[in-house]
Amino acid sequence: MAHNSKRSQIRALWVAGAVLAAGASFQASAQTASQPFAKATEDGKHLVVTDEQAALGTVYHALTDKDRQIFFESDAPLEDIKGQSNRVIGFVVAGTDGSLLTGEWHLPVDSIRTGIELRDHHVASKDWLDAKAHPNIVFQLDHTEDVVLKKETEAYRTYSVTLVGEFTIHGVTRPITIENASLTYLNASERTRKIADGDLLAIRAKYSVHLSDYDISHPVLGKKVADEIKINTVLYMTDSAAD
Amino acid sequence: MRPRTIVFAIAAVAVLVSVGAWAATGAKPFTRFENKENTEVNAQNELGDLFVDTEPEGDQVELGKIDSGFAFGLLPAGPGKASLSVAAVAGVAVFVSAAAWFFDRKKKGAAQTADQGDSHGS
Repeated sequence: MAHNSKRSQIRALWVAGAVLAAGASFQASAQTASQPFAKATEDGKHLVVTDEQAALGTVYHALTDKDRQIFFESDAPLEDIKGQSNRVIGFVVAGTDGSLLTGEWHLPVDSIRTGIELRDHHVASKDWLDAKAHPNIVFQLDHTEDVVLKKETEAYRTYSVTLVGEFTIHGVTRPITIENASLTYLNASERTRKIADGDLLAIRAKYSVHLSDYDISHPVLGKKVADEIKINTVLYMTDSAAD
Repeated sequence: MRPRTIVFAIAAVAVLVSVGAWAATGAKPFTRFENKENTEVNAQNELGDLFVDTEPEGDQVELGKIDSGFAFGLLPAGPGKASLSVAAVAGVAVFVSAAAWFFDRKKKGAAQTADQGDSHGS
């Protein structure tokens, strides 16, 4: 009898140890990005693409400052907040079958505008996104799944895809899967060249994130600022290095 | 008309005008001023126009717009000019009205005391 209880105590200790170890490893995966972030070029308009990444396929760079790229909404009981930015920089590498093989884009926290100056400062402050310590919100694309050609003309091809990668906000990285995103590859034409050089790509995605998942806590979270932030992203990109 | 009544009337009109301005500028919770940068970004759509009708039907991703025009809010949105709001106007109106009422009462009290002093003296 005593022997049995000692055994069950040892088993309980093992189970507790395993649970703690699993918890610690989950915490570690949630805290750090598996890949280091890409560096920005000197002019700050692009991210540096390594030779290894460039060799995978066609490189597209984000067209910054030309159109709105990110729009988010927070629907809280006491206040609705909308924000946007057109300063996203980044790249993707596209394969021949419409898929994306890798990519990364950075949203500078201090570029987020909500329509009220003081609120913009609050968003970037230490209490919220802490732009000083974590200047960018980063999406690192690992790959795309469920690539289905949805529309095709001589001028463009549109695919529905699932984006799989990691999202880093406030220095905390979490895996993310965005279903029903779309990729439109638009061939260069006289019309497109008036606005941007090269073949163009539009990445469109709708998704949401919970601020509490990214270690953002504040007394007004859930009251004046919703925990769930709905994000719409439309990134326009070009395969021309000139833009 | 007594000065107190005039102050009350002006305060009431100021509050009514501020409520009217709040309603007329979109009934927003916070005051904000026109921001040229936001207006410009809201207007950007050249690239978007190139990609019109290229999305799969029913899966459209819309980019909304943030408010970039002037709005006289219910509450202040910061110090300086952003503090102008219905709440600020109402606060000043209540303070001025209370001060007018207080001084009027004090004046009335002093006059009554003086009257009483006169009647005792005579």
